[in-house]
Amino acid sequence: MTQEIYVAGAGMTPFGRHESRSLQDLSQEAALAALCAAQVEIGAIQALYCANVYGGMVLGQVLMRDLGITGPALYNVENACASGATAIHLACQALRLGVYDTVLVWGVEQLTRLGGGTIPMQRNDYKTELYADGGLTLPAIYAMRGTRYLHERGETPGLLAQIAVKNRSHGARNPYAQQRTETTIEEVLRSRPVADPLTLLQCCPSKVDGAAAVVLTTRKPASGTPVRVLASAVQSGRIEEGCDDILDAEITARTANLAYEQAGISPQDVDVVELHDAFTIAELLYYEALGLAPAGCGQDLLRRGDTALGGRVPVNPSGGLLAKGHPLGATGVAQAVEIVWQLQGRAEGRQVEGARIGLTQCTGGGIAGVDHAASAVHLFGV
Amino acid sequence: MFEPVILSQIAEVYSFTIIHARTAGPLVLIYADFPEGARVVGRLECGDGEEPRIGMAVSAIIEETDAGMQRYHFQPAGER
Repeated sequence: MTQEIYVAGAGMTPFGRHESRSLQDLSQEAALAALCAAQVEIGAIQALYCANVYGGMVLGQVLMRDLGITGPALYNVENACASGATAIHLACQALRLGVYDTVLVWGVEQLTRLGGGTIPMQRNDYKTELYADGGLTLPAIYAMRGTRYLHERGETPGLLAQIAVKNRSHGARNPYAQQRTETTIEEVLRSRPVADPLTLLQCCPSKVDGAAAVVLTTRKPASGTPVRVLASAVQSGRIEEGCDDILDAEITARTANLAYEQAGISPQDVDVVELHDAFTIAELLYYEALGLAPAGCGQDLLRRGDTALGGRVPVNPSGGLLAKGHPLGATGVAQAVEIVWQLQGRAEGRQVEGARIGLTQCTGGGIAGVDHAASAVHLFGV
Repeated sequence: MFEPVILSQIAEVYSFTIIHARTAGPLVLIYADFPEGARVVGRLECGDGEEPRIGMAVSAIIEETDAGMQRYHFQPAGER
C-alpha cells in the first residue's frame, strides 16, 4: 500500500448475553472506547462504517444519531460473518485514495434476540433454501468437512476436540470472551452431539451480543505504538461445480495470497492470528489455506503446540469465535481489535510476546454452489 | 450456466454427517458423488444396523418437496 493507514484506536464490549442492553448501548461503548484510545475528537471523524447483519435498515444512522455523530458519510455494510472485516476493507480503500483521513469503523450484533441455535440462513436464494430444507445448515456443511478430513487424514474426532480445548483455554484468560471455562478433550467429545463429528463445544456460541470499533487514520499517531494496516483483501466465492474438494478452503487461500502479496510478506512472518473458528474443523482447514502449515500438515501444527499461546504462531489467543462468541457483524472488527492489542502488548493474560505482525481472517455466508460467499484477510504490523 | 446431465442410479458417499436436532430423531445427510461428475446432497435412509461410511454405494430416489421442487434421498445400494 502506498498511503500508510494506522489504527489510531481500538475498543470493544465484552462479548456475552447483553439482554438488558440495546444496540445503542453496545455501539456507544465500543465506539467511545476506540475514540478515546485514539485521542480523536468526534468532529475529526469524516466517515463512518457500520457492520451488521440482522439489525435492519440504516442501522448505522440510528446508532450514531444517539451518539451525536451526524452528518458525515455513513456506510452500512453487510457481508454475513465477514461484515466487520469488509467494513474495515472499504474504509482502508477510501483512506488509501485520500478520500478521508480519519474514519470510524464499528460492528455490532445482538443475537440473543434471535433465541440462539443455528443462525437463520438467508431466505433470498432458492438454491440455499432447498439445501437448508434438506438439512444442510451451516453446522452440517462444516460437519461434512469434518467427516471427510478425519477420513482422508486417518484421524479421530479427538483431533477436532483439541482445537476446542486450545481456544477455550485461551478464552479463559480473556475478559472479553463469553465462555471463560477451560475444558478437556473428553468433555468436548461428551458434549451434546450437533452434527457428527461436531459436538456442542465445537460450535461457536450463537446466543451472544457485542460490538467492536476501530479508528483508522492516515495521520501517524504521535504517541504509543502505531499499528499499521499492511494488507486488506476481500473476495467473493467462486462457483464450484461437480465433485469439488471440500477441504481446500479455496476462497480463504485465494484471499490470503492477495493479502500476503499486498504486504510483501510470507506466512512465516506472521506472529499471531485471529481466524474464523466458527466450528473446530474450520481452524484446521485454515492453517493450510493461510499457509501456516504445508498442505496436508495442519494437524501437526496443532499437535506440536505451535498454535497455542507460547507456541510459534498462536492462533486465536482471544479464544476465537469458539470461546469469545460470534456476534456476526462485530466479529471481524473484534478480530482486528485483538490483533491491535496484541501488537501493542496490551493483551493482558493472553499476550503473545514480541508479536510484530498479526493476521485476521473471516469467512461469511454459507450459500449453495460456492465455498463461502465472502472472505476477508487483513495483516497488521508494528 | 446450466446444462442437463443424466445421472446414474448409483452414487458413492463422499462425506456424511448425522444431524441431531432437538425436535426430531437423528438424520443422516450425505454428499453423493455420481460417476458423471456431479455431487448431490440428500438424506440417507439407513436400515437397522446400517451405518453411513465414505465410499459406500447408494441408490438415488427422487422426491417432490412441498414447494414442488425435486429433491434426492438415498438408500444403501448393497453389495455390487
